[in-house]
Parts: sequence; structure tokens; C-alpha cells
Amino acid sequence: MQTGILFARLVALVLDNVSLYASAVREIAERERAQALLQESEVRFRQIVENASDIIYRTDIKGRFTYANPAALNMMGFKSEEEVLGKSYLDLTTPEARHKLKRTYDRQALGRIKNTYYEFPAVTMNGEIIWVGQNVQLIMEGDRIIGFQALARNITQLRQAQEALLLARDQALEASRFKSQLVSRVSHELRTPLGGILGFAELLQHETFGPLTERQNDAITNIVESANYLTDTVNDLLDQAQVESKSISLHNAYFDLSDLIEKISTNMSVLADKKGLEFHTEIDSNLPAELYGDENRLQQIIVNLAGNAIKFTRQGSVRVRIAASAPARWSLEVRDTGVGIPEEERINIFEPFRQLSNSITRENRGSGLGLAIVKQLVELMGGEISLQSEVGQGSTFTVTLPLIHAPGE
Amino acid sequence: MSEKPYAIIVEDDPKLSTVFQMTLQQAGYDTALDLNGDKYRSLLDSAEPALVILDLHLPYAFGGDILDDIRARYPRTVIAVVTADIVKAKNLTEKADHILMKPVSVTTLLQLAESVKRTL
Repeated sequence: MQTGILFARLVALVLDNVSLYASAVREIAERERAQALLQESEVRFRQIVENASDIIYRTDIKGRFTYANPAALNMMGFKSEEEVLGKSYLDLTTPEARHKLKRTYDRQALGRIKNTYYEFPAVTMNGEIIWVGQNVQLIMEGDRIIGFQALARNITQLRQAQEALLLARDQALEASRFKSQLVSRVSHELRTPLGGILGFAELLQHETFGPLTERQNDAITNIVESANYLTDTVNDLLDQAQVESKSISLHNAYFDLSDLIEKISTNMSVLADKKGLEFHTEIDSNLPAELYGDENRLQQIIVNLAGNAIKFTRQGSVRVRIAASAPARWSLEVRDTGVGIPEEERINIFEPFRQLSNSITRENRGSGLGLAIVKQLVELMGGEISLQSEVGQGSTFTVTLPLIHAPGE
Repeated sequence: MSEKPYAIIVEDDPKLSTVFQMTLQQAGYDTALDLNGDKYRSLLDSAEPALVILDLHLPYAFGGDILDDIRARYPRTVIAVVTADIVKAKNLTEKADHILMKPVSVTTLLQLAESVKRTL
């Protein structure tokens, strides 16, 4: 009986040990598999890092390299990783950039900033300077910072392209300034001799030098008209130069709207009459009698628009209408029954030196600056200009401006 | 002393100064000319001008300073700045009675001369 119990215990003990052994074997196998997986994963990640075209490196807390991938070694001209390990990142930049570079990463560590981006010049082993842009992260062990890891890229070409772009922009601005100064200077120099031509021609016309024959009078009228045309062109060029160089400013004051429209109407009616056109003006009674703005520039806007309308209208009428529009705004509308502007030409109509194709004739030549100046003046006043037109029917230019008051009112 | 009003022209371009002189003479003025900006003081000594036509860029003086001189001596004199320099002219809008941009039309100058005569 005792032998039976003993045997049973022995069998149980053997069975226990066998199960223990099996579980130990299982555990070992699992551990080995986990290690193999880990190794496989590490190989996989190492392959990614080693084959990356981006630069990947790590340093300790003092900034000494602990790892650099082949792309980093290649970019910096190192033959092997051993050449770079232990070197400080500060040894690889220019002396001028060193201080700022150190400050950047000291701040990152002190401020425990997880991720930073910084661009700096690096000096390769061949002495070549390249620009590097890098994202740097802190490497943490629990709460402790133990180093930095960086993902960087050679951005030399990008920097060069940016610098070339900035240089090109500066050169373009300089050229534009020079052009504006040149135009301003030239138009200034043209005014004095123009004064001589116009002055003597007008004196002749006033018969200061004695009576004129009809043919002489005709000739002098031609000189005066040509000189006046040249004066208008010079004025346009000077305005355009001023607008472009942003040296134009508005001289706002209160002015009487009906006085302004009457003054314009007197001059425009003469031009319209010469072409057998009707010229009408209308002021909306809802508008205040006095407006605040730059009267001379408003006159220039209306004269330019109405003058153009007369130029491009063979028969019918030109109407100028001033009205109250949306709250706190007013509009001036110049409507003609002229040739109209084709849709494809409307987009460029406000560009300087643009004119309608086939439109430049003896009667309606011009500098091509009028509408460009109008648009820029309107924008300077805080307004907008729009155009509705139908070929053969006519055009309507509408300027909308804010109703403003003197400062402090 | 002449009954005619007196006008001084300070303009360094000989052709323009001739145009201004002839125009003002046609409007019934006695005229005197300073071509360099160095004679206007002695011209002011001879009589009080009703009108001065004043250029800004002159060989020996800046028109803005001449304007101050005339104003200090004869506050009633009408001073018309005639210039091609729009920038300098803008700074004088408060001080000058008229700013005329070159080229100035004879008709405009005649109208100005007539309006000054009417105030005398």
C-alpha cells in the first residue's frame, strides 16, 4: 500500500517537473523569439536610418556625436563614423555662426523644448560651407535629458534660390524706383521748354507781335494744341511716376460739389460740342452740398473718365452722374454711347500704357495712362472702380468712394 | 511815379522770363526782371510790387527764401510761384498766393494779372 502511495507521489513529482520543464522551455523560446523580433525590428529601423537620404544623427547632452548616419557622414565629408564620434557639433559650423548655434540648443535644453527647427552654415571636411536646416528633439531618459537627436537636410540650394529671389526683388524695386525718378526728372525738364513754346505761341496768338493772317493764326493754333497735348502727356507721366513711387498724397478739404461739377462741365461741354455730342451732368439731391476729399484729384478722375468717353464716342451723349450709394458711400458714374470695350480687353484696361487695340487714331490718341492713374487715385481714396460695357452700345465707368469727414469730426 | 502796377519776375530761363514780361506788360504792368535770384532785393527797394512771379530753382537763391523775404517786407504783394518742381511747390502752398505748374498758359497769367489789378 505504502509502495503504491510512494509511486503515485513519484509520478506526480515527475509530471510536475515535466510541466515545469515544458513551461521553462516555452518561456525561453518566447524570449528568443522576442529578441529575434527586436533584432529584426532594429535591423529594419537601422536600414531605414542608414539608407535615408536625410541626415540623422545623435549627440550626448554636451553635443558630442554618438551616432551619425551615412548621409550625414557623406554630406560632411567623413570617411567613417569613428571620425565624427566624440566631436562637438560646434566644431562643424563657421566661427561666426557658432555662438548663435550654441545659444539655440542651450535654450532648447534649458527650456526643455521638445522640438526645434534651425538653419545654420556647416563647414564640411573639404572646407566647403553648406546650409543645414534641422529638426532637433531632446532624448529623454525618464525626466533626464541625455542628449539630442536631429533630422537634418542640406538646404544650400534652397537658400541660394531664396537669396537670388531676394536679390532679384531688390533689383526690381531699385529699377522701379530709378524708372520713377527718371520719369519724374524727364517730365520736370520738359516743362520749362514747353513753357517757352506754349508761351511764345500764345503771345503770337494774342497778336502781341502784330496782326496775323488767317494761315498764320491756323499754324499757331496747331502749335498751341500740340504743346497742350504734350503738357497733358507730361502731366500723366509725372502722375504715374508719383503713383508708382508712392509719393503721391491726397490734400483733403471740404469742397462744394456743384461748383466742381460746373467747372468740369464748362470744359467738357466745349469738347463734346466740337464732336456734336450732348454732355449732361446730374447730382443726386440726397448728397450733402459739401464733400470732404481732394478736389483737384477728384476733378482729375472725372475729367479723365469724361474726356475718354468723349474721345471714344462718335454720336450720342456722355453723362456724368454723382449719387449717394450704399450707406456712407457715394458714386460717380460716367456713361457714354461710344464704341464700347470688348470683354477680352476689359481686364487690361486699367493697366498703364494699355489702350484698346485698333483704337489709337488721330482723334483719340493718348499716353495710355489716364485710366491707370484714375484707378490708382480711386484706390488711394479707399474706393473702387468698375466697368460695364457693350460693344457698339457704350460704356459706363462707376467709381464708388467712401463718404469721409475731416479728422476729429 | 508811373500809374501802372509794378511786377517783378524772378525766373532764370531767359525765354520764359521774356514770355512772362511780355504777358504782364500786355496786362498793363511795369515789369522788372531778376534772372539769377541776386537782384530782387534792389528791385524791391525801387517800389512795392503788386505781383511777383517767382521761380524756385535759381542760380544764386532758392525761391522759397525769396518768398519769405518779400512777405516780410511787403505782406500785401501777391506772390505766384511758377515752377516745374511739384514736390517743392507742395511745401509752399501755405505761403504762396498762387502755385502755377509750368508750362503756364499766357491766358492763365493774363487772368491772374487782371485779378490782381482789380484789388489795387
